[in-house]
Amino acid sequence: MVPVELFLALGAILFCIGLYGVLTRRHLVIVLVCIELMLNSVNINLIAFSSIGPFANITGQVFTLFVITLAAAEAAVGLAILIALYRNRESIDAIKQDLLRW
Amino acid sequence: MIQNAWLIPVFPLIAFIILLFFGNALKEKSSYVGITAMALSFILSVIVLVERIGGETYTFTLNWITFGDSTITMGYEVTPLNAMMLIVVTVVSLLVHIFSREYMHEDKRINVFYSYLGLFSFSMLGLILSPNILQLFIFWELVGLCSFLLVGFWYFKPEAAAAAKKAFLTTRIGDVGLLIGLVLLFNATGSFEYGAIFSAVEAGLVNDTMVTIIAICIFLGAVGKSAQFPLHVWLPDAMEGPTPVSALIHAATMVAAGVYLVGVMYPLFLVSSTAMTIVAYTGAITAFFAGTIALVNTDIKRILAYSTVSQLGFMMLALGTGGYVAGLFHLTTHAFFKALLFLGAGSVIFALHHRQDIRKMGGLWGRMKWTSITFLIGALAIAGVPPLAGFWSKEVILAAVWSNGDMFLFILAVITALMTAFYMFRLFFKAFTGEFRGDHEPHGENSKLMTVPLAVLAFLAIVAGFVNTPFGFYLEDFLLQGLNVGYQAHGEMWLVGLSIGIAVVGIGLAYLMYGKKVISSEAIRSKVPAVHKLLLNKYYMDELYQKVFVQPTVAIGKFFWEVDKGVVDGIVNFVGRATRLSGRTFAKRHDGQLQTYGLVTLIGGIAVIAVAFVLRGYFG
Amino acid sequence: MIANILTLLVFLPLAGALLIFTIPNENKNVIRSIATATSLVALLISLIVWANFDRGASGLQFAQLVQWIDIGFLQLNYEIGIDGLSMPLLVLTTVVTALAIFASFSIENRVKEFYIWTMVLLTGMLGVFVALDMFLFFLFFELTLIPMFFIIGIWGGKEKVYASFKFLVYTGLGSAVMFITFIVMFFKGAQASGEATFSMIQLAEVFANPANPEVLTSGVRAALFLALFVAFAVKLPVFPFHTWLPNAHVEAPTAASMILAGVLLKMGGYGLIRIGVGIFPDQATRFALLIAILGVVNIIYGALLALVQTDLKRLVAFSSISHMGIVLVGIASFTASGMQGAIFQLVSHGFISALLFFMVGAIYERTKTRTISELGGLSKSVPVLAGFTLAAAMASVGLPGLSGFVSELLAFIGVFGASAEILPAAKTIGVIAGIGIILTAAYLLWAMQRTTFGPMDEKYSGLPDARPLEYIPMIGLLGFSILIGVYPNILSDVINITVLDILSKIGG
Repeated sequence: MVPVELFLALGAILFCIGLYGVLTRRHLVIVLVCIELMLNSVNINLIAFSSIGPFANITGQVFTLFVITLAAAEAAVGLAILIALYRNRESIDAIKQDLLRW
Repeated sequence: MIQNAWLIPVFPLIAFIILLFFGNALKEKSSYVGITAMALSFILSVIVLVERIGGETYTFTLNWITFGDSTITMGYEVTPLNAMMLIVVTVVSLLVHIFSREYMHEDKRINVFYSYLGLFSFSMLGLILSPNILQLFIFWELVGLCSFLLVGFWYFKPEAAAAAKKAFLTTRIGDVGLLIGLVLLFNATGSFEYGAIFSAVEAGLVNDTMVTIIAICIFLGAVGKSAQFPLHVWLPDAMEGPTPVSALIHAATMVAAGVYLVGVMYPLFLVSSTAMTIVAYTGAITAFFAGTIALVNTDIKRILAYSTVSQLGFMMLALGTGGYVAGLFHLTTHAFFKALLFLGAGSVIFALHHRQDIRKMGGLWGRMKWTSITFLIGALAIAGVPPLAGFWSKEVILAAVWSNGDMFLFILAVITALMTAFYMFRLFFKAFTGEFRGDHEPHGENSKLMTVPLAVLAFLAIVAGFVNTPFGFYLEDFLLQGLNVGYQAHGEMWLVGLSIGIAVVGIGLAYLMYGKKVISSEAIRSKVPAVHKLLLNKYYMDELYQKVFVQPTVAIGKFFWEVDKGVVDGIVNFVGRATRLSGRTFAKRHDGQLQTYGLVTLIGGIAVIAVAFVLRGYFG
Repeated sequence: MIANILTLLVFLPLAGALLIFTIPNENKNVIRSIATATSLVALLISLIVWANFDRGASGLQFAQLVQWIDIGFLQLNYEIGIDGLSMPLLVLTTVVTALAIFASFSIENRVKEFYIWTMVLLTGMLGVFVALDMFLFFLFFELTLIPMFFIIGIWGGKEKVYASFKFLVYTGLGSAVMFITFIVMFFKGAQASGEATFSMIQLAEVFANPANPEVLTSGVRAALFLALFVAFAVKLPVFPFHTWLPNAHVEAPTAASMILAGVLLKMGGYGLIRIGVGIFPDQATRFALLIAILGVVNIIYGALLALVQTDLKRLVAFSSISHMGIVLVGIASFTASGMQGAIFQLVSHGFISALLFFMVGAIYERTKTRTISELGGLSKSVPVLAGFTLAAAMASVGLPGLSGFVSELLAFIGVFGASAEILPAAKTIGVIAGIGIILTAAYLLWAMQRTTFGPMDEKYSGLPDARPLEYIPMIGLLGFSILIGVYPNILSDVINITVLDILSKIGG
């Protein structure tokens, strides 16, 4: 039996890699990919608890399916926004997207 | 009729109100309203005096204000002193009203002038009838207001506007002293009523230091109003007002109110010898000091003004040395002859088309007969030539000073009396004798409206002294009814001789210098140029006050204004600006970089969790 | 009707505001008449109250108590009533507001809003003077803030935005301090007695005889009193919290200046006596010296600053600061006469300063300048206005026969008669205040010398003198000042018993 901690560690590592990417990469497509990575790290956690957690049950798997669906939708909407953004501002560099500043 | 004495001030008040509302329509007819009102007041005053001579003091009061357990009342009272003063004020006021009819008739605002005169007469009469010192103070301030209005009557002249302000402000300084004195007196005795105050003081309910402080505070008010040194500076400037006003307010009545005040509060002063000494010395110094300035001045009205200051000092000196009757007697006689002199000067000024410089006069004797004769009578009276009024009153003052025993005061008084005779006749000889030196011939004698008041006053200046002569001290007996103000000194024969001598020497000296011109005034002047310059510039008192009081106050005000703008408001604006600045600074951090936001959020979240862990002790 | 007359009085202007709201903007005259009529009816009602006020009775009259908001531990009541302290101020409010409305007919833009705000302001002011519940008091206190903010900000002069924001933020800050203090008093009161209440009367009893005295240590009381003092000091205003006042006055339109100086400042003094002294008599006497010193500082500082002003309206504004010092000195004496002098000064200054501001406004309207050096000889060009200006200045100087003198006299009697235990160095304070009186005469007379007196500038020769409508505020305000000045008993018999009530809590 693989202990739950290893799953959690994997999730944490993936989450941190994703977070690092979200906060540092300037290319918004990479940022989007990193967000997927973070979502998947969450999925790993959910799955792990669902099968070997103290109250193992099906809910975690159901949530994972929700998250995957949501991630797909999010990727679609996100990429669409990025394309629209590129058409309007001719760049998808994160630093140049500062319309929300003071 | 004595219970209707309150009507005496009310008549002029009614005149004032009528003129306030209908003055513009009445124009020159306004004078009749004023004259009628004053005539009624005068008649009533005579009746009241006659009744009072044979009767009792009459008092009427009603509640004015209540606070805590104390009640202050207002009302009116007829005492011997009041009754005498009523006559003095109504007579002079009536004559001035009549005189002004002609003097002011060219002025478009004659209705305003008469309304102010009415208000003044009301206030002055109200002051006299006051049964308590608070009410006296109220009217005291009102006469000050009228003085302000009348000095500034020709407000479009900058000098008149400045003089009006100066008059009000200078007297105001004394008035604050008086107010503080009143309040202290009230807190010490629990009343403003004269009777209650005096009985409390005499019973020793107020300690001696307090009495002295109160008396000095009250005297401060008198110093301001009666233009005593060092608050005398306003009175000569007040001559910017119309001359009848100078006669009424700044010679006969209002300026004498200070003397009257000391007279009214006399039992209080008697308790404190320190206060008496201060009164005496202030009076003597003022009398001497103003007399010296009058020696060299060349403006006919200002000479008279300084003479007034000097004579008021004389009255104070009398009161300060125990001569209660002497001071008040001189007040009465002075009111008549000084009003006469001022109205005479007014007559001259009117005839000379408002020129006041005595160097530009001369030879008026032949040109203005009535004016000249009456003026001479006034000058003789003030110089103290028997049997005119001034002689009798001045003689009792000298007696009082002599019996007091202070040689310094006595010598000062004698010198002042000498100077008075001298400068009055310097004025007389320069203005009325010799050749006419002006550029504008006078238009001859003025009409009866002006000469009749002069004649009446001249008559009074001759006979007013007879009420209190060594042949019969009628005034003294009358004033001292029910009053204990100590021994009243009477002159001995040598004093009478001295008085006459002083007058003769003074007049003679003036005659030799300005009449016969055997002594050159130029020569004397060139011998002591510094003294002459000092006197001509009135001892530089105005300049001194300007430098010591006015300019520093304004400078302090300017300084505080800068402090207010810079520091007090500066802090307020700084807080406002700092708030705004910090907002702007932190707003700059909102640079729209989502990744920065995310990072900060992450750090913040970690920090919150870390703090929570530390607080909960998860880290040991 | 008499029973609920105060409620009627307070909310009548609000009804007027609603009525104005329904009138189309173009009917300016209809709007003006409604506003005038409403204020006159309010004046009439306040006079009815005045006439029915029982002068011999102590305690509250026309009182009314309705439960208003009830959320468990927190009961807020609509509790109103008046005594001798609020009665004169109530009449002052209606008189000054009604006359200010007469002075505001020259306003032509956004007329409807102006009168709506004025009516709301009137409700707020009246409410402050009748409220006996601290929460209600605070509510009305704030209700005066917003209308004045808009009136200055919309109808003001050149720097109206700065002035109105300064007014709002500064006095709003004072109100915030007041509110926090009220809340703390509420909780401390609840802890001390076990009964939660905002009622001033109950709190006064709780603070006087707490069931748990350990909650209300003297330090707590002192802190609460000083916080209250600061809150009201902003409004009064007391040095160094005064700097909003000159800006607000100079920029405000004439009518607003009249109300601001005539009534709004009085709320500070009223609050100080009603809540500060009423609930913390022990602390008020403890800090008497501080209050008195701030009072003389106000008198002297305001006068000195007024002396060097070049703008006539700013001069009058600083004279207000100077005169409010007398209120503080009067209170600090803790004697019947001093306390009465303070109340007299509130009322008297209300009339006089409103008149002065009206005169300055009337002169400005004609000459288009308020710079003292540019005026001069007004007695010649506009004699009636100049005469009333002079009369107003004399009233402000404290000339007997006018109301200012009575208040000064009473305050002086009070401060010189103050007990040495409560107010040490009372005589020194009195003498310094006396110097302030001289300075007052100096700046006002100097201003008069250079405006009404002096040679007339030719460009002012054809100016129109007072219009008939202008006589109403001039005669009204001066008339009240003369009335009180000549026969102060008319006011003192209303105030006296209440003053004795307040004083009985001190050392009693």
